[in-house]
Amino acid sequence: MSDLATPEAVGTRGPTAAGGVLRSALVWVLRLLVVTLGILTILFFLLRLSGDPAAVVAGAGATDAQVEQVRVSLGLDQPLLTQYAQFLADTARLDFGSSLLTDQPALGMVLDRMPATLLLAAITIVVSTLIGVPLGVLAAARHRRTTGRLLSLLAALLQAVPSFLLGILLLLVLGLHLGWLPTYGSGTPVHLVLPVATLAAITIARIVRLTRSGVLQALGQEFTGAALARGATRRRVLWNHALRNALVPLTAFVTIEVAHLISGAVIVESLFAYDGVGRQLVDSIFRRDYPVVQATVFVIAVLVVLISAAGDLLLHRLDPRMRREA
Amino acid sequence: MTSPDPLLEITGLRLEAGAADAPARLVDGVDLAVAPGEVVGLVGESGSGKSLTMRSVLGLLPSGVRASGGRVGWDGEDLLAASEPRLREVRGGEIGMVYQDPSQALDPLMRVGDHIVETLRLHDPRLSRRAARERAVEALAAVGVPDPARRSRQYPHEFSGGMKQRAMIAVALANRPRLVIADEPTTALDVTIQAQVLDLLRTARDELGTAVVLITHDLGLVAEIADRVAVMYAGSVVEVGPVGELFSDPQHPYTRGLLASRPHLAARGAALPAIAGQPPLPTGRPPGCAFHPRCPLAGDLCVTDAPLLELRGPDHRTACHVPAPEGALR
Amino acid sequence: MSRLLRQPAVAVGLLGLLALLVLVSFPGLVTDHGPNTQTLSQRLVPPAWMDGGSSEHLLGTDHLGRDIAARTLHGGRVSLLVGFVAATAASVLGILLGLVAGYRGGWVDRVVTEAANVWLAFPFLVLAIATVAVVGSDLSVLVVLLAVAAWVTPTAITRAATASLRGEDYVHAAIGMGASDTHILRSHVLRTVMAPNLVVWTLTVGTLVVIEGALSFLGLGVRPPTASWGSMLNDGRAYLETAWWLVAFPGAALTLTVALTNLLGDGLRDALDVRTESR
Repeated sequence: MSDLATPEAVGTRGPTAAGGVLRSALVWVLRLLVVTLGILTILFFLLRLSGDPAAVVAGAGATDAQVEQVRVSLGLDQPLLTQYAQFLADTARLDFGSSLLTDQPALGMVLDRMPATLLLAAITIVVSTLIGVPLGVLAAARHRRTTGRLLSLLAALLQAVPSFLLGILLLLVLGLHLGWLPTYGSGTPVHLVLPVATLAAITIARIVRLTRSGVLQALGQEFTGAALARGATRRRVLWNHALRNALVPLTAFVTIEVAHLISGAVIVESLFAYDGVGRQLVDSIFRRDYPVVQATVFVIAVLVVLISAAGDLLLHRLDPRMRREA
Repeated sequence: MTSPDPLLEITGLRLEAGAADAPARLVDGVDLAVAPGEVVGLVGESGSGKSLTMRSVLGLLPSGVRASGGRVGWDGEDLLAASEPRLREVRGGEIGMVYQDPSQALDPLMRVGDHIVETLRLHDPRLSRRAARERAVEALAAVGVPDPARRSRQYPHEFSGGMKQRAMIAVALANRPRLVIADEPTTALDVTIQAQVLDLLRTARDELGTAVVLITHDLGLVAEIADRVAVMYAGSVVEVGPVGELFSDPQHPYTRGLLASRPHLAARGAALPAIAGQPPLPTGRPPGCAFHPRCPLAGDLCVTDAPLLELRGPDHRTACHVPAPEGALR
Repeated sequence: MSRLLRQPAVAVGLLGLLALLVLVSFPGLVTDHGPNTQTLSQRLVPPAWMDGGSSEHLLGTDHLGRDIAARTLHGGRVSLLVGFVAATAASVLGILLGLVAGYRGGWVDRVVTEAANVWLAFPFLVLAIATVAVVGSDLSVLVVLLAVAAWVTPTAITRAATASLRGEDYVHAAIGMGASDTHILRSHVLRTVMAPNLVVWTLTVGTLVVIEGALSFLGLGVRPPTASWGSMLNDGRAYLETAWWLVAFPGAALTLTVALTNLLGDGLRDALDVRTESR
């Protein structure tokens, strides 16, 4: 969906990546704490400041008595700081309360839905990389010829189509008109095809563009010319030297792309009625099921930090310049 | 030092870029011969075409630049007409290349030793990885990299500038080439390290019989190491000869200008004579001798007719209509 | 300026966006209908050139008998307004942060860089949804959210450009001559960071139009019945099989807008010869 983490902005990553693996792991644990706590705190105060949370939680049709009952049961009659302390204590115990709708623990509900979303994201990443990287290398190798220009144009066009629109188009053509694929639901592999295709299209476009520019940049540097002068074939220079170097920014990018994918999953899951956390999140908002929203934000924050840490580790493996001899 | 059978013999080489009907003539009829085991200095300002000339030998011209005439003779065969597979045999196998800035020319994500391993195995696929590694360590040791076994497993960024250039030379020499092209190999280095790099090239010539073409704008470097010198101006060789003779008795006004504009301890305090004007752009070469607008001796003939390389002494040629007045300009 | 316009991508992108702006500003040029006028006798009328279409409704009507052309144009008003205002706000915020971080360095720089890193890694839509869930959604919330969404890229490029300028000799010289920080930032640094920021701003407009569309599509954007491209797509989903025009025209308008801003942004990048990589 959104294109906020442009390849340009990815460059901000790095300064923190220097330093030992242990230090970097420590930094990420710290980030995990700061980020999750920060976001939950902001949500906490926004909810208290933006009107009567008891009324929000009780729902639009609630009577005054019902609102009052909710207020007491949620401890909202306590002073703000007491509430905040209680909230922190609950968070530390990973207690986000129960769903206002199903009365099940909110965290459990989110964790139940997580595997489906992770599956969607993982398959999308793998498919996009397997398709996007070779196409990007091709676009770079042929950048002066029709093939390369066509690929770049196609990638640029694909990037301009929002995922919710693309999803509707795929639904219309593959699902409704041709009837090849189920248009909604989840559980079987065929149910994954349309959501993955929708999510992957834009990811592929982005990977193609980034791979192309990374490979072109490497091809413009002297070490690729020097490899030719050692007797390497152009193919070898392209894949072993240029692509290898392009993989470094690409890895940083794919790590960030996970954030996009989760955003995209929210849309795609809603569109295809796929039972993941994204759809549950959107449903929870319309049902005013606030504990589930909070638990979802928490789980996704943890997930994102873990994935970023993994991405950092991978970068350390890929780029020797980021390692420091102990 | 003329050899009847030069190893490399470039004749009438022309390199062009741009539209076919109005091309920029980047290299305009270069003649250059290198004998086995000979060190030739190729001198000129940037843009004179010296690097392009040598890149055409390897068939590695930048995209958009094409050879439109001449011949690059390599041990009897014409490399301009050679197939890509044949050129790959030559590159890194028969001719090694040393670059100006080793931190740009080494792959940052590749271990230093693997550069040598790659070079060896590209030219001998039957060589095992293990054997290649051993030879890489030997090659690094030969160029004076200390603790070569450990260093071969390090990455370029862990090497100092001088060490990187030593490694680059080890890569170039890996397959015992018959010729090494060194393109400004000392420009990016400290003065103290420059001498060490020159020593390595000299050693390669003495021990392996490798011929060296040293591309440079530094006449001091040439005086130190070269057997012969070729001076290029605006895409052509204007003077070529044995190093001693060319320095003591330069025939071309441009060579004399170059020599005169070097600082001398003896002439301290006096203003350095500079060659007036700027070298012409490849698209705007003047007719006749390309140097005539800047030449203090230019006559009518220089404006209309391009001079050819002519013998002025034993093995000393120059392309100038005006005979050198004995010592007049020095 | 005329140099820029000679670049075909810039000319096409700029003219296209201008045409789009004129159309959404003056919907009366195309249709007399209001965006929310329901004519229940005229529901799901196909576009004028199709069987059953009427010249009354050029692009047909939706399930409530509202004119698609009118809704698409009025919806574009919301999308473009939100996109332009939020992108501008994001650029201003980013330039300020980037200038301070890049020029001051030290802990300010580290905090900004760190915040940018974390922000990039976080799925924005989840945050936006959580916020909308709490504070509700109206136009001003949307603008603030989107401005916050896009702060990283202008910050990163401004920071990088400022930090590298800080090392330039002429800036050192200016400092040496006693120029004040604000003077240096205004006269030397700001000028150089404007070009890449113009490129980023252009691209951001397109990005934010899409995000606004995504939020509206999920029912979290501007409240109905106010038309927006995203909410029209959402409404039209139910009639996909029988009335494709409900999604086709807002979808095409959205795609066209993004394509035009991308074209203009890429064209400007080439024409101004700026690098927008922040390394």
